[in-house]
Amino acid sequence: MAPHATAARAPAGEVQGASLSLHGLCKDYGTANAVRGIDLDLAPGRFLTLLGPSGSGKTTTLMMIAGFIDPSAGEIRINGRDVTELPAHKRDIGMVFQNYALFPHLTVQDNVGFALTMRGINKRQMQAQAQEFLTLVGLAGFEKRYPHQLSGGQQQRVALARALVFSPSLVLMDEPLGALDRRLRLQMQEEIKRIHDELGLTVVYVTHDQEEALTMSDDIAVMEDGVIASFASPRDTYEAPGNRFTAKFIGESNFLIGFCEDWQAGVASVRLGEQLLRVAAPQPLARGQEVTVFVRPERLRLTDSTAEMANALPCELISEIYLGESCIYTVRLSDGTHLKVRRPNRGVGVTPDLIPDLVVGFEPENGRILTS
Amino acid sequence: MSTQSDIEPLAGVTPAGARPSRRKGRDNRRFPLFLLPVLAFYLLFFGYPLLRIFWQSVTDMGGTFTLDAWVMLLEEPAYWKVLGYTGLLGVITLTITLIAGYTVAYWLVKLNKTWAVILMAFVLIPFWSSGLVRTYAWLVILGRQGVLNTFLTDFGLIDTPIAFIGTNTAVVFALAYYLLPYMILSIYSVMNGIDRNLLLAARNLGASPFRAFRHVFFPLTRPGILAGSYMVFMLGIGMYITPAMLGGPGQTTLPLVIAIQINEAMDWTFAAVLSVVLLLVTGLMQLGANRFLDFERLWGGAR
Repeated sequence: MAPHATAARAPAGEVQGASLSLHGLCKDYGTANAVRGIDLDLAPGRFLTLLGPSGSGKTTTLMMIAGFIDPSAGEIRINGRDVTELPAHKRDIGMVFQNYALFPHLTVQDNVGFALTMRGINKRQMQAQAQEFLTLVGLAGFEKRYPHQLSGGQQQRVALARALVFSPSLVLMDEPLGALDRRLRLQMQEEIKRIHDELGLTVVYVTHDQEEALTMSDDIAVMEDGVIASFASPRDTYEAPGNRFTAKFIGESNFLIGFCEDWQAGVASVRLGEQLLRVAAPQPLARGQEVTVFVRPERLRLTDSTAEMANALPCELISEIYLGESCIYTVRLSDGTHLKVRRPNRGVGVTPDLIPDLVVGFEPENGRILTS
Repeated sequence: MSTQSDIEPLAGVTPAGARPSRRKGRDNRRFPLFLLPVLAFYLLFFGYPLLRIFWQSVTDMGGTFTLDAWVMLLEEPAYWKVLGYTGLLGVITLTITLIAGYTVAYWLVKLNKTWAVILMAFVLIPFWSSGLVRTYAWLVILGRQGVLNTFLTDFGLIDTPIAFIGTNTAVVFALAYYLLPYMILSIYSVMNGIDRNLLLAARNLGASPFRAFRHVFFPLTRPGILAGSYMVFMLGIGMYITPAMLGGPGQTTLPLVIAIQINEAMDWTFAAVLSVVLLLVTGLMQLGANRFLDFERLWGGAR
């Protein structure tokens, strides 16, 4: 794959991202509810990722924004204008499909220029503009080819150019990188981000790949069972998830269930059997309330019992997975709970299997209290 | 052999797909030895008789070389008329089945899967039943004392029975009825393979439903249209039973003339000439169709 032309500039016509608002958006298919009330306000130029497991309603939501599925209730506004009733072909939204959906009977140029042809733009201008956008995605010179003559990554670029050529202010992407191998996927992630920044587009991106969501997005909406479980920046979504589902879905996580004994100035004392843990909890908690202590594996430390740590739990080592740059250790607490610990492979210190009186521990700010 | 084509569909062209004949063997690197018996069979019972027909067309009954039969064909306008009529019949049948078949196939792909399967069975059942039986059925329906005439007279819509048998209408309808499944299956299989997202993509890019159909769906169904048309036309011009049973003297087609030459005139040489003509027409069409069918492979992304 040829690297894109670095000199590629934003094609003619300044594109300004649109704002997008969804209010109470629902879709039920007979008995099953695919989407159960989505409220969302997206500022112009933002890159929003809808992240969730399959069946969480993310694609249905995207299809409703595109106008392919009629919502059962709620409304969709683009730049403040209600488009809920507007047919798909009048919405002026760009879209990149999961399998690219390139027209097999048209050349690359005619594929990219399709939207322009539909808008009655003459052939010469269509070709010039198609050329411009093919240059933007690094595919100049491929105009006369047919889609099946291109590699997966190239088809992906054509799909991207086709979705952008008519200067839409909102672009939807439905798992556009799902079919690419890892190396190409990373490259395309950068490419899409670059184009997003260059054109100032508003993008709604659907994926089930959390890593992709973290690297690309301004905002991440984690979807569960047809509702938005969490809407936050990538950093907040990872560091301070609002609920167990979000914590579990993004990255690896450990949960410890206990009862709140005390709460003071953003730190909760949590009773866990014999132990009393001190964990960060920005929201006040009621005494006796059942809470979940959440800690990422990379925030846990394995040491011996003499080390100074706010929270230290005796444990025994169960297994070790070697990952090269790090190792994942599974340990068992005295009450039988399993925890995962990620230890960077720095090549210093004693490996956990050689530590006597092994304890797993963390500082209060490395944990998080979840109540839902 | 061509007079039998209404019983034996053309080998190598499956009604389900627009794929070129497997027997082309173009992709084979090495000849598989286990195919030898089959090859021998084909050469003996297919290749040899075929050559024999060509040879027959330029020899008289005594075995001496002569082009008399060919000269007769070229000089006698009656035979040209038959040829023209046969071709016209093929084209009209093709047009009717194409319009009806495309509509039905389109409707079938739009239906949900359960209904599509049930209705597809209705398409396939007549397809599987004997052509002779189905032609007799038309005789029962369209005959002087047939179902249709009885119905019309009983309800006082007509006084005397209408002579359906022996008209172009009867032959065309029966042919179209007989060949419709070939068209439906050819088009349906192609339509069914079209990615639904392509239509959504077209809509998203600003195409109204009609324009999405015109610019995306229809062009992608062209391989099915070509395959179906090719098959219907070829089978149509080679049909013997239908024009023989439902047509009159005015509905004489090439296969009928061939049969007459063999059964009544006992002129095997001329029968061979006509067979060769039919063979050339279908052969040339096969060549033409192959070009288009290769086109379909070029569009491999459609499936």
